[in-house]
Amino acid sequence: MNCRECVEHLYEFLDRELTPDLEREIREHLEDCPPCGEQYDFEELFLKFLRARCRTQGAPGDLKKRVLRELFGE
Amino acid sequence: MPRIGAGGAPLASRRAARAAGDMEHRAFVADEQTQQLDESRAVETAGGAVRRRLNRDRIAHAGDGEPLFPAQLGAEDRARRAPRRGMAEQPRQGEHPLHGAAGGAPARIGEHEIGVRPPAHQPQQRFNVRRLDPRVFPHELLEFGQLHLHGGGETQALDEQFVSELREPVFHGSIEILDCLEDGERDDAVHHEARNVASPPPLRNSRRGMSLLGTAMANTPSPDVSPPVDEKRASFEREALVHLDVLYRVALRLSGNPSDADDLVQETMLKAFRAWDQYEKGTNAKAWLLTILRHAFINEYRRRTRHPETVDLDKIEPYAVFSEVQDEDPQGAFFDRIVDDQVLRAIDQLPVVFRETLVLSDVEGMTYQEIAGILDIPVGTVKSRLFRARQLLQGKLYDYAVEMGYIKGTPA
Repeated sequence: MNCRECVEHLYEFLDRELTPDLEREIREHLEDCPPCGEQYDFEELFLKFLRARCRTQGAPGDLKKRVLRELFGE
Repeated sequence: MPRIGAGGAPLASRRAARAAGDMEHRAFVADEQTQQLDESRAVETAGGAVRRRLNRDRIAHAGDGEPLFPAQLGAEDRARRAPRRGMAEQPRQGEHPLHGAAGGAPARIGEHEIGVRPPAHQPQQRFNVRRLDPRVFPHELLEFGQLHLHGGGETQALDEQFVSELREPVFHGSIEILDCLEDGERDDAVHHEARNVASPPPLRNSRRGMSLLGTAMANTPSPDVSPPVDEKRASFEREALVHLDVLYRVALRLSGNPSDADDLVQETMLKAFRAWDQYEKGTNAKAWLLTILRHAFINEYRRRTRHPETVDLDKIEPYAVFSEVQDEDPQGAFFDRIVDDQVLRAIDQLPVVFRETLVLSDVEGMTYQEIAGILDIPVGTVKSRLFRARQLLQGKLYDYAVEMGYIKGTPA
């Protein structure tokens, strides 16, 4: 596993979408390679940041009422 | 040679047909509440306009008692995308979906009910057909396809393009047979009511590994065996309505404004409720609902956008933000200074194919497999789109952070 391969699969690693073998290889590389480790931290933070920023919003309070009214005439 | 449909004034006649399509739409909408209780009656009501039109179109005098020709897929390689199950079901004698059984509702023939009965003395004919969906596209052509009719009660085939168009989550519309190819003359449209069973497109990540559509086809319920309304409502509230926030967030990012997002969610819920009998309870309702929502969005998007977004995705070169910031801010502290609205605005600027992938993954936490099912793309494509979407978004946020002075850097 070299740095290029590692970075290529970094998102899949973060998303837990890799096969166990590949996941282990990446993990080992990240432990041994500080620059890749730093990038891992950076990308992980970015994804957490994204989720936190985008999930604050929910459906407007009256949307459910309107859906219910449309479906069941209430 | 006998012709199907009234010749003469194609355009005028087609206009009339479209108007009738709208009428049918209104009939359908007006009857929506009833439909949940008595679907067949609603269908019949909606079909009335079509039947009247057909009578006018001189197709009505094909001999009674002749066998009908159920819609059927032609080639094996289509089986994967459009499951065959239920498609070859034999119709009942003496009933005609166009003119109705003696006073009854149109017969159901598998996935798509297409009532066509060629005159017996026309052994083989091929027609161009197109689908009209009065609910989504009141006046617009969706796709062409060909309908082959062979005499003598044998088979007919719809080409894949046509069939795939019919795989909309909910379809209640009409089939327009445009012309007969054999004599090269353009006969005017003859409309046939067509109705699928309101089944969603297959989800590849369905728990049992088989398509929901296939399941739906196998279990097409008749109104008699539908669960009681209260039970249906309870399960819908329990499994579908709980995802309202997710649907709204995705709708908002796709459509770009709260009012359209509202409409999109309401339409999705309506379609989902109608198709609820086809959803296998306890499986992935969120993915199923998002699939319906995304179809609704695409339809609306296509309708509104005369010149759809043309972006050469391969030419978008995201740059690695990390390499830009690793000396100054390897921890990405600048992200923390960017407020919600700016992040959302940056997402909204992404090309739609990147945006939808990123939202499903990074906002809603769907797996690659789930996203592939919803977007109907291979998992590999999900990966590459996601990779580029994230890099692109990072780039936009980085530029913004530099602009705002959150980080020195140099905007790309």
